[in-house]
Amino acid sequence: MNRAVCITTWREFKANKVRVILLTLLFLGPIVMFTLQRCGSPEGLNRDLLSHPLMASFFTLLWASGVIGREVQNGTIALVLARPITIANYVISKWFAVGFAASLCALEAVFCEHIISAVNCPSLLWAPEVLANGFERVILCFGTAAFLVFLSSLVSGLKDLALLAGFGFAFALYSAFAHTVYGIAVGTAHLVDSTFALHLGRLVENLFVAILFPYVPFSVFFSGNLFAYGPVISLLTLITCCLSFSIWVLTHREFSYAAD
Amino acid sequence: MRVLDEVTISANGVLEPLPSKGIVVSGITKTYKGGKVKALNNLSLEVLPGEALGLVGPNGAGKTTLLSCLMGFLRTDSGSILIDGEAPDALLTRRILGYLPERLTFDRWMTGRDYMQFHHELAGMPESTRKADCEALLTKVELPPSSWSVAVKKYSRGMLQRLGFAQALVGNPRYLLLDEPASGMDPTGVMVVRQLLKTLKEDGLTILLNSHQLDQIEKVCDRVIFIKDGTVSRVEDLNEKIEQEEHLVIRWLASATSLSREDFGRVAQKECLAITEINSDFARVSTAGSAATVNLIKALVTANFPISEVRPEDTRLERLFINSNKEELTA
Repeated sequence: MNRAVCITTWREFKANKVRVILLTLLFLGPIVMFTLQRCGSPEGLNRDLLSHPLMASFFTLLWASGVIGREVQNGTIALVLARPITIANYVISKWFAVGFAASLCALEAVFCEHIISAVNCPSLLWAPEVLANGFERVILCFGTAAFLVFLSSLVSGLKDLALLAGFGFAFALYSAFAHTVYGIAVGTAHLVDSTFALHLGRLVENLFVAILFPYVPFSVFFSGNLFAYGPVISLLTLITCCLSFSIWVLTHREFSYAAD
Repeated sequence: MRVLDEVTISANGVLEPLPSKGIVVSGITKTYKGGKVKALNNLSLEVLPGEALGLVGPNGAGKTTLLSCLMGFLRTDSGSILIDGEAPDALLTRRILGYLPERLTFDRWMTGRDYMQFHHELAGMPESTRKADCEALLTKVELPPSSWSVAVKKYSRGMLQRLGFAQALVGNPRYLLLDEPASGMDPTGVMVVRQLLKTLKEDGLTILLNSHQLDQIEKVCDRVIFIKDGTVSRVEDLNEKIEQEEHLVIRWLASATSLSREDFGRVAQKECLAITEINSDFARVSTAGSAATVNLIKALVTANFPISEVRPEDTRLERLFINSNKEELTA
């Protein structure tokens, strides 16, 4: 991991006013929303109202969009790679910088939400829910960061957002028509093995979910059931595959303005 | 003698850097757009250790492509490149290379000092010397200290060029690949770069200089390679004295002499190949070479012409470039 690349990634984010404003809104949004919810509902006083860990994905999206693509577009990546730093080191540093920063923001947000809960209802101060939520957010941040770093390495500028939107759209489309596909598969059982079709359909769906929402419930780690570790394995696979593909893509890319 | 990374331990136990092997480019070809555009065509050249080599050629000749291949940013279709015996994209090579691109790309939100410190850290240089090293390099390129803490986006083109040059010197490189180092600089900047290049050459750096400023190349480089259509069309050793046609501008004080331009023509006739233009106080002439030029000046002085100025109209490299273009047109 390269310290200079990590620090520069964080400082670059800080220098971008639009991102800082978006980050502030993302941070304040849930807090304001839940505070208003508490004001409107006396029942809320007895519950620890924390936003869903998937909120962390938005923090990661903000940190990771164009993290490599912008450097490719500006041409700054060439001078970085002209230094004695491997592409693998560069990609892993970017991933860590994004994952770490997004985790920190997400943890800070959940901590603030928790403090508001505790102010309203002091008995919630030591509620373990906040720890579980925070842990899940960190896992989610690093998982999502790996996928977004991969998307960013494929294109230049902020086009990775378009790729992500396309991927999300494909998932939505698939989800909408999945039942129809299953129905056809079952209806044509005499032609194809319906069990196989169903499993294939589920596999594709799970693949989409694993990539877009690499969420691992906290309880999985304490379940003691080996089968429950599936999400953990899928998360590790996602991180390994995404980073490996990023490295492969950047290794085979040419960074020169000579062709222009 | 033992070899440890980039140093050797000599018989008396003193650490010495490994001797440079130079840059060897053997028959490289590089195409773009699926082979439709041939940027480099079986190009071969050698840069000797400690040598300053100039690259000259028209736009689109393949000079920037060559530098990009040497930096490992572009992969060649065929042929090989060795820098100190290593491939261009090897980490060991990147430690000893300094590069200044023509199209300057900066993290524009950084200050000049931040940018230098970032590259100092990337180059794996020790943190203890970071501040001092960076400031020394910024001073070396004569970037005003008041601008060191200013965001790069506020720099002028000349300041960016100086910062880029300082960046190329981070990490004490052995080889310096420079793509138009004085582009966009004011006359002072051009002179600073020229002086800097001379100093670096004296320090033993191997320099590959791509520039359209032929006078700069002539003053700094030992050899010049003319590149045309992606291949080496001519190699000139600038340290070698050659006799070739010289074009001179001669001025004299007309008010201090009764001699006329007809007298000038008569005196100069013997040594000149041609008198292209003549006026009451100046003339443009061509001579066969430096010996003929000396004789011409002697003859004019003997004839009591009050000569105030004799200067070459173009440099050697400019003449070579013009001649080479003429030859191609004729061919």
